[in-house]
Amino acid sequence: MNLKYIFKRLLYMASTLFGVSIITFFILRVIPGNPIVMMLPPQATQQDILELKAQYGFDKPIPVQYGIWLKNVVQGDFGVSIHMKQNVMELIMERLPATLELVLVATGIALLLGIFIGTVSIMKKDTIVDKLGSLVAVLGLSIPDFLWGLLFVLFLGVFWHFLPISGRIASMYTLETITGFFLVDTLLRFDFKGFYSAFLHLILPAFSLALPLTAIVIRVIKSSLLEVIKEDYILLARVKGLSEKAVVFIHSLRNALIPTTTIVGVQFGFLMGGTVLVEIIYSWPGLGKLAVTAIITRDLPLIQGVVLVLALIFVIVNLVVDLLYTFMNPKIRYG
Amino acid sequence: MADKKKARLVQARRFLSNGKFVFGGIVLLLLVFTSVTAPYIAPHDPNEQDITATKIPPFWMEGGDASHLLGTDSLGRDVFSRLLYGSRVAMFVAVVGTFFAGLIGVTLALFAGFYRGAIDNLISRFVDIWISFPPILLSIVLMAVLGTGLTKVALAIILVDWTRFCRVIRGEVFNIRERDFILAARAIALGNLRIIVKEVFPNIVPLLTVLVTLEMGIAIIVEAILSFVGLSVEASVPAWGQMIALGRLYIHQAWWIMVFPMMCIITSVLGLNLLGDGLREVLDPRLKVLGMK
Amino acid sequence: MSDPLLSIEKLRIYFRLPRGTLKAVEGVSLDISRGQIIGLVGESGGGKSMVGLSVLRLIPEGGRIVSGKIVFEGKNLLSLSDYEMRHIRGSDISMILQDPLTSLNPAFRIKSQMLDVLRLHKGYDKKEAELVAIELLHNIGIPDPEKNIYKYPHQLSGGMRQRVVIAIAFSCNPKLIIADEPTTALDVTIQAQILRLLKNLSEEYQTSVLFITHDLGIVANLCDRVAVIYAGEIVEAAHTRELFLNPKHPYTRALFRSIPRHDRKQEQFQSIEGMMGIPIDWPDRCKFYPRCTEKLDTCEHTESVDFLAYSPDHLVRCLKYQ
Repeated sequence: MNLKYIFKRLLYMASTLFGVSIITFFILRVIPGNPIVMMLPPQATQQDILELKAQYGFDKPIPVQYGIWLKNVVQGDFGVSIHMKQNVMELIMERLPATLELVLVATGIALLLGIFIGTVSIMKKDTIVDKLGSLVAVLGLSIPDFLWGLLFVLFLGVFWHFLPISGRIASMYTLETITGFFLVDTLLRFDFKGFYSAFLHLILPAFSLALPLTAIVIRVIKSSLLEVIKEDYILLARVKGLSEKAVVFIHSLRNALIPTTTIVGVQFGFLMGGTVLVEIIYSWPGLGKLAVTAIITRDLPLIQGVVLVLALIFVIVNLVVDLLYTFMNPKIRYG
Repeated sequence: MADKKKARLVQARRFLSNGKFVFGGIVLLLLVFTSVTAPYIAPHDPNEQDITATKIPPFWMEGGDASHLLGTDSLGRDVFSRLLYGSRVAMFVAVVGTFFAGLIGVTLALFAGFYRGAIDNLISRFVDIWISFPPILLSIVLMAVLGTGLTKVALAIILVDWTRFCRVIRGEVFNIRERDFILAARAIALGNLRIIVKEVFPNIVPLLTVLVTLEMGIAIIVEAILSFVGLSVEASVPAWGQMIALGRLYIHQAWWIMVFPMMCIITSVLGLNLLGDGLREVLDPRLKVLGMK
Repeated sequence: MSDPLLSIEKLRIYFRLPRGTLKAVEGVSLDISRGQIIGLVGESGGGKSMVGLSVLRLIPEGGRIVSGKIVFEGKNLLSLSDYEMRHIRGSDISMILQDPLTSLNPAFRIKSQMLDVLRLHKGYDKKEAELVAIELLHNIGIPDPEKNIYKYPHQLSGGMRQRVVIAIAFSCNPKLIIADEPTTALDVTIQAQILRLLKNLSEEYQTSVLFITHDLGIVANLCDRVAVIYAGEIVEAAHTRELFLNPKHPYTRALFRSIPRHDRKQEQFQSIEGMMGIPIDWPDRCKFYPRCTEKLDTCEHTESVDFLAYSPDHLVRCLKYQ
């Protein structure tokens, strides 16, 4: 793990972000539907439109606009949302923890469930557990997160009022957020009722996101376990007299987890940008919802900011995954 | 000659004995059938509104009506007919989207994987940047740019998902490239293009077939997502995703408006995925044999 | 003569394959006494590894022990429960695998891979086990054991790793060790060291060894008795010296002829004609018949050939000596 490698990676990441922001910038300028026009009342004159345009800098040539935007971004200024009239960075930071919390919990669920089901499936091959596991895997892959969301809302929220289906916490709670993660913030204040409420509200949306990911985890774990179990060192573990449980859960899993975490990490990155529908369905005040609103209202600075932030997260997650891989693989770590 | 025919029969039997393949195949055939025959078999006009017959439940429930098998929606439109017509949208999007996404992705992958070096670097870089866009947001943005409409939806899917083909096929081309018969062909100095078309491409076909079924399912889902956000086909065209989005508003009073299109999507995607699985199961052992040679 | 430590009686191991039944081991009988080193020699696919694995009941999936007994210290191992077998594995009977590059788990340090056996069978706590392990590594010839025990397998050379594997095998003082081609994957120079090590340890701990190999040359100095296996059957068994001076079975003799020797002038390398093949649906007769250069007329149609004594302690399975 040398500095040269890290430097190269950072350079690579930066150029990727450049590419993303440039492409977004230019695509957005092509959008039909002028945000300016949308903001003004119908009686607005051509003069009004021109003035507003100049105010937002839309009258300059596109490359110049990009240059200005870039200069500001590097200094941390993402501009102001046209539609919401708030600082873009503020808006994003308000919503980011909500999405982050959701995705983290969902990934955690997927990992736990997936590893467990996958491992047990391998141990008890061709039994009911195995068949059930395959069923979960197939269903998880075929039913996208928003459909799970709708199913849950239908059965657990409408037909039987089992779990809350709207928002992050019951409306009676007012929160001063420290981290933005409701689970953490409520605990920090020893507000256990609040914690419970936040927890309940997380269940359905997190599971909606988690189930398709669980299916992927099951597949990866099964295939890597199958590969690992054929290895000589697993035979040696058995030769030593270790129980089957130890052989699978300690010796095999440790090796099978390496490719698994890589894939899950990448999926995490994808998930961050893919919470849109679930957020809409569960009225979850996250980044996805913000992004869609921005697109519909042609709020260029906001779209630009959200896309960049999501791309940044994606790129960082990839870096972390790669580092994690080298960390987990002793051959690379102690080469 | 008789041997070849026999081999094909054996192959066919292998396919037909695979449950997943059969189930998936039936689903696909059903989809094709309904999308082609919808105008002829649909009992009602899908856009025909009837204010006197809104939110009628499916025929087996109390208040149901046999002429509206699966009930009506909030505007009195027959759900069943709309489902049938919706399959046309689904199939169009699935077939067109997958075909062109595959065309672009596979072509680039073939060149990147075969020539490697600078061409590969360029293409891979491009793919990396493209993938950094959150796909759902990208498709929404594209729809905002392109405007609504069936062809635009297909175009959006193509633009977003060609990278999936590219990445997977590129990897496979790398594998194939090192195989003996390719090296032999290059040794005889056959033209590169010819090698790509005649030697490399046929070997990626099995993987490609599986990928195609997967992609078709994804296309259907993406259309549904776009419909949900209101950025898909025009309001006058019945689409499953749209039905779900609209039906969601009446989830308490008339759950069937939302549930039936959901089931259609789930069945279609499930069927396509199983088809892909079945294909892979039957073709894979053969792939392995090829690899050993 | 006291009872043998291990007595394999008429072991049959079959694999059900799509194209037929693979008879990997067909009626093998073998005895090993306390402190003896027995060589099991044969070419790849001859069934020797399978015999070794069957003693620990770790035959790969798809294989079944169809009949026979494996009696260890008076108990038939084949009738034991899995739980009971696990107590025997690693402590009473242990195994050394062939490829040191793959027999150690790459994700764990040497320390944990040595400690788990010790703690499982001997009940040591962490500290005790570590001391014992370091001592073992020292005895086995690994320099700086205190440091090396914290290394990962890939940080050690092949020879070192094989020493570790041997150390693990000996760590709980087993009565029997099955060594499945332990030197095949090593450099020739290291081979000799490892063999010497094995012999010394066996003598020191009075451990019996079932030494499985394809290399006749190795068994000369190491083994007390040698059994030659072909296509799942033992074709000849004798004291090492007797076998080398007086090989009787055509296969054994062909094996000896094919060893290149620097003390005799040889015009060409002699190899055995043909290949053994896979024992699926073979006709009932001597298995070596297709490749035998010393056939008799009766060999083609005689259904089974008994394993009879040519002389006391020298058994052959060949019609020439019936």
